[in-house]
Amino acid sequence: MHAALIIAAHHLRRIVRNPGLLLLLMAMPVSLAVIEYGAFGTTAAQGTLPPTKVLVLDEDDTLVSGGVPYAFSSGPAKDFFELAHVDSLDQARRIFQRNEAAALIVVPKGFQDAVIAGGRAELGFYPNPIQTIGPEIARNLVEMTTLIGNGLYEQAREPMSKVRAIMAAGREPAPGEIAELSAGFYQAGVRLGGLQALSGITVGVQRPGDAQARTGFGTDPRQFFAYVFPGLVIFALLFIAQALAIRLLRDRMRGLQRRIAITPVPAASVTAGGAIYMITGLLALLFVLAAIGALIFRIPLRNPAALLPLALGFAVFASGLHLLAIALAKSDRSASFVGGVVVLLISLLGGTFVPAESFPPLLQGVAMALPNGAAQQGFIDVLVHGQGPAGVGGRLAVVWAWALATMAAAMIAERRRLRV
Amino acid sequence: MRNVLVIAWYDMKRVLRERESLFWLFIGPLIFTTFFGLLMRPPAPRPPRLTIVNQDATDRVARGMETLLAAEGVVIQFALEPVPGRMSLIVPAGADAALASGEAVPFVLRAGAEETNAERNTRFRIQKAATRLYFAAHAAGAPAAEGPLVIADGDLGVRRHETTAGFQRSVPAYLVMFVFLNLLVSGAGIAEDRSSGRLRRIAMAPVSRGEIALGKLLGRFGIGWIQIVYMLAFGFVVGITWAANIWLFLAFLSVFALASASLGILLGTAFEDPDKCASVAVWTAVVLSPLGGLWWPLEVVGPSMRRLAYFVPTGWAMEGVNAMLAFGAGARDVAPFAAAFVALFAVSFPLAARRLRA
Repeated sequence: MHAALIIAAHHLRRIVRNPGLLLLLMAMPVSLAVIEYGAFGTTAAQGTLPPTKVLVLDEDDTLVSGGVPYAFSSGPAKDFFELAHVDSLDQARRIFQRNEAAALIVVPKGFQDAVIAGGRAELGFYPNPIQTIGPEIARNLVEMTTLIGNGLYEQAREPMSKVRAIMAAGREPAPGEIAELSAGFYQAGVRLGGLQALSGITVGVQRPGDAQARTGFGTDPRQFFAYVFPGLVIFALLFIAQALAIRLLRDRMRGLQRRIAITPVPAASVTAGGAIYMITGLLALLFVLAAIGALIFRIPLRNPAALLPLALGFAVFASGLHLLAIALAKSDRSASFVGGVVVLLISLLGGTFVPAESFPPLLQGVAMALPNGAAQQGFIDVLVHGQGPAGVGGRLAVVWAWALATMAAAMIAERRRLRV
Repeated sequence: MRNVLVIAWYDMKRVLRERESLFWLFIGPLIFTTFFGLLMRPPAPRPPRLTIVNQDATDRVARGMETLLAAEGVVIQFALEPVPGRMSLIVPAGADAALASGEAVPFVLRAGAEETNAERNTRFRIQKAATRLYFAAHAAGAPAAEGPLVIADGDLGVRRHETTAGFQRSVPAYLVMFVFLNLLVSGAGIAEDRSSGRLRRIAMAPVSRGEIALGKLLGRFGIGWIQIVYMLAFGFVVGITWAANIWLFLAFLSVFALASASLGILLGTAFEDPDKCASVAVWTAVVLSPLGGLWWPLEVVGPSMRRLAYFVPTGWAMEGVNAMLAFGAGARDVAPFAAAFVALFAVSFPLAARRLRA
């Protein structure tokens, strides 16, 4: 055991003296986390979709036409829409082609006159064919706007039509007609007042667990990082483990292992020394990444009693995997190739690049049965959902099963290689 | 020129003999493209489903909502309690009386943990149906629907192929990513040539430094083109629609490959250790890929991330490729991106050639 620790310490000192490559590999999860936050963080932290962008082309430029965009920028609709004014159909077309807007509303010239005259007043609606949901949502609001507009107009239809008849006749209204018009508009006002309740028709959203609308990642950006950072760290650790193992392989190729073999050091100590070096190195780097997560991304490192066994289990698995690869490989190139392929495949299937929740059910099961998928979900269960050791027992079992299996296989392969 | 071709040929042969290179040229891109192409297939259109939970004394409002929403294509079912995993509309107690007396009616939609497009769309449908119901209860005279305001549907004539889902998304995106990645990583070959003494041996031959640099560039350009042809062929197999102007598309990819190869050589001259060079190359490609819109469409990110894409080579490549694939952009539209690659090549290659020392 003493010899194994000396060998492990020797390898670890070499990392500390030449950490360049490992620092580069550690920079990857940090940079990717920042990029993912830049892309999705604000939206994810709020738990809501970004607003739907709608273009408005007001060709009438009157008091009544100016009220049309108001439907999208006021009331409850204002949280769901982002309005932008355009000067021409060509400008709108170019924005559509870049897929930067869901729909265009055109208020044509003569709109106000048509409304006052009680004739047909058209609102042009142009959906962006590149999108599906956004235009539908925008159209629903336009339909509601015309519904309400027509409803309000209906309340004052009678007195308005009398006014138009008098104006068309080109004469002054008689005193009796004035009284009738006043009463008519008064009644219209009362009915309009009664339509105030329209603003009271609301559709509130309740989400699981909360009385108010809640978020997917929480209202706190820290939860976003707690969700995405573990997966990125696990991905980086797999490549870091490969880099650590390749150093051992190159020692072997340079004859260092042969020189150690002629010393009175048992072969088991040499093998154990390599394993201790890998596991300790990976754990140390995992702690450094966790500290970066806590300091920079403010991820709360809760429940160490649950985090530590997960971290240790994954470190053992990653070490075992690459120790097995170098035990079987004849050169650093083939070890690098095999290790890289395995890391790529388990990362794809384990939900490193895309959350496993978006996989079909069969693949979700595969993801949770893989050590990286189980470890990633275990970290999320602890950091985001606050689960303890008992809560992540299943994940721990998967990770440790793989860890012990790969490490045992690596030890057996290395012993066989040394015997030969 | 013969020396250039010989150096290029031997570099290409060396790369194509290595298992690792073959994997990342042919198998890796296939795995990524197929996995994400299948995962990101657009789902089959399904009518939205909604459960109505009626807490009112009468079912007039609930049935009214059912009729109006069903007319919009929403599949309705009634239940006594909200159904987990399904959107549920709760018609509150007193809704009918409130509607009749012109008071507020607070409907509640029980939804999932995060807002989705389907939820937002359903919410607006419910709001619209509730508004119609209100007018039906209060209409004085003609129904509200018969007013002066009318919606006239129009078409701006925008025609664009879908580029954000399935293989139509994954093949072009991973073509750009793996060409960029492989050509950057190929710079590690320069560092390896230097550390193994191969570059020194070439330098001792009657070959100029310019010829060596051009040979290295041409070899990598050739590898890039092998990968491009491979991905184009795969795209044809899975039935994606490539650009209408195929020659312009190929020319654009050539400029992209040339600039990437030149960047890779420059990177190789900056490192003594091939492992470090390869790691930096991978890190660079991995960081620039999402920034350029290769991992997710830029339409789904915020405006600042979209603007950032215009400053990275992967963004130039993806914008140009998308423009040609999505709406048949011509030379004028992709010229700025091609010019950016030409500029990148013009800066990086002379620098790389000067730094290329044994």
